[in-house]
Amino acid sequence: MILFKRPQEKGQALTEMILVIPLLVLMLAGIIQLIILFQARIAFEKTCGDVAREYDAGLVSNPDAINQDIWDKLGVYQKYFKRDSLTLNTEPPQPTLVDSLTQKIDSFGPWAAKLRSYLINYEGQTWTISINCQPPFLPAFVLPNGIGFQTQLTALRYPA
Amino acid sequence: MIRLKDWSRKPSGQVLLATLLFCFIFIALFLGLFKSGLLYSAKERATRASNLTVLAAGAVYANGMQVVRLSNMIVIATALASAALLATGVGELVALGSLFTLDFDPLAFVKAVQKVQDLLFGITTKLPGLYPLLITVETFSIAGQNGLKSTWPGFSPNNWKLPTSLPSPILFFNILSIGPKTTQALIPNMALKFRDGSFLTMLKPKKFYQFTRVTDGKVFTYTEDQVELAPGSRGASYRVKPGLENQYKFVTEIKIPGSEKLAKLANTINALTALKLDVTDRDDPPLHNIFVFGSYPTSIADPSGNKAEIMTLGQVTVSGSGLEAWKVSDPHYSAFLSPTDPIELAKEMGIQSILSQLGNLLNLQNLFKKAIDDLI
Repeated sequence: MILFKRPQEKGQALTEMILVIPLLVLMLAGIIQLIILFQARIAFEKTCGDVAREYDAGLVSNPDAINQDIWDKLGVYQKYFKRDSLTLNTEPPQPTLVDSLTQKIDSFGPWAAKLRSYLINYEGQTWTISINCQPPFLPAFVLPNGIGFQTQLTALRYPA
Repeated sequence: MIRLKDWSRKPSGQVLLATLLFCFIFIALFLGLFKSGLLYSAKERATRASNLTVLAAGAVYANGMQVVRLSNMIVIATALASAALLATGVGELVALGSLFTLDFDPLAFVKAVQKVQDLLFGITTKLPGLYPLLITVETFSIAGQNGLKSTWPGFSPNNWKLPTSLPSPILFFNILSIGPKTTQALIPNMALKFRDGSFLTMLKPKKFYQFTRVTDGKVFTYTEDQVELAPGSRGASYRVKPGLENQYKFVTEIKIPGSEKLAKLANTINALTALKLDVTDRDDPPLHNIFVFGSYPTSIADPSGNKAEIMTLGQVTVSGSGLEAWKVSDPHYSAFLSPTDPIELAKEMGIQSILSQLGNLLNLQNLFKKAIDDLI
């Protein structure tokens, strides 16, 4: 009669697999979700650039239309973002020497401003665009409030 | 140590070690992915910054073309006003017999306006005009605001700084049509010239030359562009250009009846060709473009701490219906991005050589000295 059962090596590989596979799956899922996050980020950056180019071409002008255009152009990536978190803050670009000059000209009166508009008829805007990314499952677990993306760009267009 | 060795031989130890190895591999993969993701995102931002900067340059350039149209309108108006003044005063002056004794240039006002145009757009001056400088200033400003590295002095009134490394961004003005001296494209310009009467030369009577073959008496006729001055000949002897039939044979000019009148007409046309008219495109067909070469700094550093920079090259083309005064109400000039393959372009335009020259330049002074030397 055997009093003590000898430890057997049978089933060792299965035990190792059972231990490792969840970790492996978790890491693979993490990598896939990181890729999705970066894709969303790049899509957001590209979309902002595309809309800025539309602004340059005079196709969009008011902030609401710009906002909507950005959202529309996100296309299949919309599912990773919250629509109501998309905000656009517009302000004039940093003043150059020319801006100082044009302000001085404009101060002479409406006729001077009118004359100036014939000569310098381009305008610029600096956009600060923010959006909240709804991350996929794993990052959502770590960051329940989402990840905020923000980008800034400046565009000039002619005619104003 | 021995205990660790023993432990690693046990199944539990092996599992843990294998797990640690997996973790290491995955963390390395994770970090690599994260870094490449950051770089890809930075590349997207760099492309955007380059596009918006070059479009900004195009917008200011296009505005400048409208200013050229307006200035041409002023030239025409001034010319008409001068003509009207002359017409009204001419009768009295003739009556007084003093028309030709007055020391007065009837085109003085027109010339004054043209002088202003010259200063404003840098048409014939060796230094850049004020407006091309404005394009440069605005482009640098927008480049900095879009994140492109700006090593030039800040042009904002409250933001002056000294350049510390190679200049960035670099603007190439109309490099596609600048000719062999590509460094001239570094001088801000708008590819403009004063229209003159040279188009009248097509009306200029041409000279004809003849050669009679001795063997059969056959007569061959050549135009003036088919003959050349015979080298070493006494007087003005012409011969047939090489490559044509009867090459190097001496020819004689044909005397056409009434040639004196034609000669006078030719002189008049020659005088008219010297007359400056309005401002027009330098190139035919017109070509206006700007290249912006810049570098976009990223937050990704190598192990020695050097941060990666993404080089960008963008091209904008400005086109419109023309610069003539009567086109002032035409649609504005528009600027649009042109696809740029940096490698192909560098091969074609010698930008690569310019950039390698830039690498050897010690400071900005040398850069502009070379550009101005080329210009002179």
